Amino acid sequence: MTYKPEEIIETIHMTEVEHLDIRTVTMGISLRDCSSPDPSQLIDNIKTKLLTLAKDHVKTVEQVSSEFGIPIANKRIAVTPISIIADGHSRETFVEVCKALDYCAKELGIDYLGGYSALVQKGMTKGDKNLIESIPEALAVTERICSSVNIASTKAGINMNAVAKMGHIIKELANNTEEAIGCCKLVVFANCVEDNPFIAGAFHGVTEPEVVINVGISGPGVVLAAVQKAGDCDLGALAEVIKRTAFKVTRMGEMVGRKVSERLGIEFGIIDLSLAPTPAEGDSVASILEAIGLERCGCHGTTAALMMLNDAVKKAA
Amino acid sequence: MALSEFEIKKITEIVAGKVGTDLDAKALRKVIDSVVDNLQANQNNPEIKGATCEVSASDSKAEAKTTIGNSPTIQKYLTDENQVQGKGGLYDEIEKSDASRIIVAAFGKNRPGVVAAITKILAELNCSIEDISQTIMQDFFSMIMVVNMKDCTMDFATLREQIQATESTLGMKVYVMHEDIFKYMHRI
Repeated sequence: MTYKPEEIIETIHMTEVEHLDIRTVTMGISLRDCSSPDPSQLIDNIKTKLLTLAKDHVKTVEQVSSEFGIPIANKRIAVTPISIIADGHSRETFVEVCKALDYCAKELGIDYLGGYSALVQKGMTKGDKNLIESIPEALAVTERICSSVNIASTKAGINMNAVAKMGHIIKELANNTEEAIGCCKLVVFANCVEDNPFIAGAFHGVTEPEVVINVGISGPGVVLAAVQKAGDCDLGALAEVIKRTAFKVTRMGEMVGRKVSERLGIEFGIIDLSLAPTPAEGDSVASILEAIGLERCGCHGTTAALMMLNDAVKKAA
Repeated sequence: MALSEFEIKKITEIVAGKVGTDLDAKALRKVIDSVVDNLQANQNNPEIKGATCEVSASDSKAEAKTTIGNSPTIQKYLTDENQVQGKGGLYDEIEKSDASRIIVAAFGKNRPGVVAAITKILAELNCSIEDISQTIMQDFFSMIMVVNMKDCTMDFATLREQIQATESTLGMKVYVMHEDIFKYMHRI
């Protein structure tokens, strides 16, 4: 198998100049078998499971990253929504569970652990209510735990009680943490997905397998470069350019996911391609929109350009 | 009895370990298929705990024909090479495991001794260069090499470190990447 020099240069350019990176390799772990009516037993079960299953996660991901020369920004874990696992327990126990998760994340060297979550688009159980009410305290006393609450879905509609409640929770959480940093670790969702590898909204859905490896990739810089290179062309041609680029980025994510899953002996789940911007120079989504032809991001046509961009990216992935 | 991917993988490992690395990917595939067939044929016999298959490592091709050529699956493979090629899945996986090629690329201001410096390291470590292309545009030099490190005396990470250590003396940017990255990105 031979490669054209242009292909090789394109790949090197993507990784070195255009900030193509794997944003996250997230290990989804089901905690459904950890439930217990005894709080200390529950916490023990969760700790044991996480510390055994994910013990090689960080090491393996770093190995793959250095071996293939692809930067992997984050190593994360997503767990089954804690409101399900700890349903029936008090608000205080929820905070304790959150602390235990934080302990595991630190012990394992994980950047963030998602799944301190509740799904309440239709209604709330006692557990959901306790979890939501514990969020302002739980996220204030922990560092690496991310929380999400799904309050609406296309099928169920919007749970207005939950909307009202979350408003207060967000405010309380902001008050509880310096510079309201706690709010960076909380997502309020409509139509959340069950296998999202991205923080803060990552959790391991109830229909997911026992353990799974999901990959999240980004790369606004790569798309921006491709759009700029395409120059003056019509929207159809531009969509094609974006699609092709997104596909290449996706394949890179797939390679990393497969290598990690092979080495860990854990099933490979999904790849999520989202154009998540970073503060790095040239890693901006607004720049892509302006490269598409907007005079300034936010002016007339911004929504249309964004729709087109999103559509082309999602078609590739 | 349908064998799961995991089981097949295990068998592959066992077979590869037994017959050594002298067996090429195709022969290895044949051996596995024979073992799998054997297991499938005996699935109702509780006495049968496993299946054996003999292939001599020194003369894999000839032996493969005589000892495991009886299975209809194998015979199909033996007569139709294209079938093996297009089989995908497991076959591809084995083929992939043979891949030990890396891409070495250097870019920067032209100066004498760039190729020499890099190839010297490669030669010392027993790597062979399969392809090399270089262009000089005005003062700008770019070189791309496809290197096979099958017989390399060093692992990839150290090899990369060694090659990239030349960056400072050459005043160039040197990239060392695994072939798989390019395979995934540009070939389907």
